Amino acid sequence: MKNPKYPENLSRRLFLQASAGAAALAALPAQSQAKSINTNARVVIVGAGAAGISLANRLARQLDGATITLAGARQAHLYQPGYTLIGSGLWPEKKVQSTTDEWLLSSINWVASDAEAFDPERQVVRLMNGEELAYDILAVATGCQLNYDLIEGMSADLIGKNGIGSVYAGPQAASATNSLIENLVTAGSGRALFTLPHTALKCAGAPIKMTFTTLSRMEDSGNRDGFDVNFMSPNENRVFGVPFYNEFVLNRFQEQRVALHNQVRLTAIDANAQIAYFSQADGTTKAEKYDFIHVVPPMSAPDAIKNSDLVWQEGGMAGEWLEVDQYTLQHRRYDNIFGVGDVAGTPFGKTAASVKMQVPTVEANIINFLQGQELSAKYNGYTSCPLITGIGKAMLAEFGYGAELMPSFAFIDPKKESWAVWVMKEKMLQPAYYAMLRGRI
Amino acid sequence: MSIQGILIIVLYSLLPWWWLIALALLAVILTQIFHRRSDNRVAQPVLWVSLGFGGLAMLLAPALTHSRLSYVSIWPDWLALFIVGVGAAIYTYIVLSPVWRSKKLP
Repeated sequence: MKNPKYPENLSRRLFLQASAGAAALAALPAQSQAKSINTNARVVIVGAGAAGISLANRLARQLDGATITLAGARQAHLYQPGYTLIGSGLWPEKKVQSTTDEWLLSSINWVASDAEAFDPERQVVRLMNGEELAYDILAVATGCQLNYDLIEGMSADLIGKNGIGSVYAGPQAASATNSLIENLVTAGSGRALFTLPHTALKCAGAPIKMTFTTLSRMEDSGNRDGFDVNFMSPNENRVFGVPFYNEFVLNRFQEQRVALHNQVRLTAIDANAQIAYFSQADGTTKAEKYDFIHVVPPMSAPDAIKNSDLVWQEGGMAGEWLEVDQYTLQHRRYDNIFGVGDVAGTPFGKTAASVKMQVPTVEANIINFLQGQELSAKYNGYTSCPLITGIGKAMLAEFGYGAELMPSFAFIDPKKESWAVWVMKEKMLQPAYYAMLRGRI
Repeated sequence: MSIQGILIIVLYSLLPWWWLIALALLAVILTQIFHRRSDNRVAQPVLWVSLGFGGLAMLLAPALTHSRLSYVSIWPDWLALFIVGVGAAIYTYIVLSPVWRSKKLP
């Protein structure tokens, strides 16, 4: 499948080879803090998304002689950070679509099947196609599971119908969500609900971004007064995990007349009647009519992880996420297992930018492990969210463990809205992501 | 992020636009080849056109990125806008000045 972002007459690989500039930079070593080693280790990476592909490519370059197997069913590769832009009417669906195989080095064995079960004692992963993969090193990069079914009456099939939107389910869902928002804005009036789940979620800024971009469209229509916009949070005065950005968003909600509902959790939807049911802190249930609802589902590790011994056994993430050390990303009980990406049970780190930082950490620590050395690479929880505060402006929110701000660029104030940050989000993050997939950054 | 990393990202960002960059370079090369003269005077009228085009580019750049001029707020925004304007002005001058000179000289 040709990558739609590149000339139609050239395959993407041929184009990169033909480009002098690309050839020059391709000669530069991929950025890695790890030194390559000779090993006959069997490395299995479960999950063929951003984290899995990036890690596979980096390890393929660093581990001479290793057998690297990537297990993941998805044929299509999807640039998930683009979903909010599709849902906001700015990008077409095709812009986020490519294929898994075009990103993988030829030395990687790709098995197009997801994991069904993990047996860390036998060091075997059983795939859904019945195949068993034995490993010396296992990297879990499955991403997270969208649990729409935990909302009674809700399923991904309903997205785009009866006023139900949700950008998380994929580019088609994001496009359908955009259509609903378009219809709502055209109608000139209506009640919109934007929800937040009670679980950890990937791209925690996305529910807020969808609220702000929808507000932009309402205001640009000249009919803002006709819309009743509500944000439904399961927390008390908290919609984002970093205090500065949380306060900023809450203040902006007040200025833009977004009603904040505290300590409410979406438990059911009556799609035909367009009524959403929320449990409240006092145990009662409140019915909220809507013309449009943006549903953010509860999330967790995939069932294959949750049903295995790899999941957190105790604490706030028990039964939900992969149990890893938050710094080394090594499993806390099985030292030849590592976690990377959205599946990792860490306090922060479910964004593509987190993957960019986590993958080199896991790469270096796998090499350290194979050499019998102490795991020297540490992940600091880096998470980045270009927080869109309206169509055309954004704040570059970068932070890590302890909600500490970690700006990458000293000249960009992380506490100010900016056109340049918007341009970075809309024009440059996708190329950076693709460079990350190739293991180049 | 390292300089190498930044350069890699810039390259990946420019790759989808290789055809536009090639066309722009071709325009410069063609005007240099077919309209080049030994006269190196400043092409005054072209200078004004170039500055005007640069100003227009600055005004339009936010809109071309689904944004608006009122969102240009912090100093990196203004610097980026200035670079867009200066770049557009310089490119216009480089392309148009040989053409103007070749029409002016006998």
